[in-house]
This record gives sequence, C-alpha cells and structure tokens, in this order.
Amino acid sequence: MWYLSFIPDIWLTYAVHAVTILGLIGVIVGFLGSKIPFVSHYGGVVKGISTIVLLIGIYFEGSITNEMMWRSKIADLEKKVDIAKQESKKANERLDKEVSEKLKGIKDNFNVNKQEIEKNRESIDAECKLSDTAWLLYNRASQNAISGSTNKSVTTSK
Amino acid sequence: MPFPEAPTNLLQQASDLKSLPEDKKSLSDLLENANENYSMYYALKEKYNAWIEWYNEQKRIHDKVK
Repeated sequence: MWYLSFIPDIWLTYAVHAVTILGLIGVIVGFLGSKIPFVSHYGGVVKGISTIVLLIGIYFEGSITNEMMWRSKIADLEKKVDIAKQESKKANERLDKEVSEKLKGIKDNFNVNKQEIEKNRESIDAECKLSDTAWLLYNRASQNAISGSTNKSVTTSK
Repeated sequence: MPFPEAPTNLLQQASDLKSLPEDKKSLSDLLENANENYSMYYALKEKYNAWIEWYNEQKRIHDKVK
C-alpha cells in the first residue's frame, strides 16, 4: 500500500468512507428494490454490485486505519527527532561556552604565573643553574623520549 | 537522526609539550616552561572531560528518540 503515502490523509479518508457508504446505500437500495415489482430484477443486480463495492470499502477502511496508524507513528518520531536536534544543539552550545570559560581561566592563571616568574627571575636564578644533564633529562620527560645522550640536544622517540 | 555535531573547542588538535631551548638553562626558564606545559595539560584535561560530558549528553538525547 506504499502508493497510499502520496495521497493526503484527509482525501484518502473521505474517499474510503465514500466508497463504503456508497456500497452500504447500494445494498439497502438493492434490497428494497428487489422487493418492488417490475424493478426487482435490477434490484438484485444493484445489490450484487453494491455488495462488492461495500466489501472493497471495508477492505480499504482496514487499510486506511493501518496507514493512518503508521503515519501517526512517523509524525511522532519526526517530532521527537526535531526536539532531540534542538536539545543536542543547545547542549553543544552550553558545553562550548563552559569549555571556553574554563580555557580562558587556565590561560589567565598561566599569564599570572608567567608574570610572577618574570618579576622574580633574578632571585630565582641567583642560586641555581641547570646542568646540561638536568636540561636534557627535563626535556626527555616533557617530550616523553628516552633516546639521546646527556651531551647532545634532545631527540624525541615516538 | 543525523550524527550530532561537536563543539568547535573540542575539535582542535592537541599540541606537543614544549621543550626547553638549548640556550635556556636557568631555573626561571625551566619554571616558565613548566608553567606553559602544565597549563596545556589543564586545557587538555578540560577538553577530555568535556568530550565525556558531550558523549553522555548526546547519548541521553539519542536514547530518548525511540
């Protein structure tokens, strides 16, 4: 019944109801007509055709109910997806803002510490200077490297 | 449902830790370098935690659409 999806809900419902009602009226008219002398022969024909129309109508009533149920489910799901998209966008905006604020805080702290080091540079360096070995080992640690001798510049091993 | 977007802050590549230049071997140089590297660590920590939060939040939203 995929082709039904191209027809608007209301048209489909009206069309199916119309066929069912037409069949029902035809059956009643045919039944009454078959009791009337002179036209009783036509009444039988009308009743026969109307019964077929009524059965087709009932069949499509079942189909349309099923079709409408699926359309309703799809509409519900589409609504949920739209809400989820909005929620996802809002959550991302909030998270992005939070991360930006935290990164700014980290940068600010870094700058304050940098200024303090600069201000106290003379007293910090007064009693201590790094040896070549200390410099090399420090760089090896920061670069997660173990290669290089203590007399050469640092090389990374990844 | 389309795959959710991630915040732009979380899509930046992580940079390597800074090493001490050969001509900088004073204690203040080391402190400056450590300060910079530590701040990079904290920035990455925030981003890592944000990814966890992003995943949990998007999963919660996704699971509601059933």
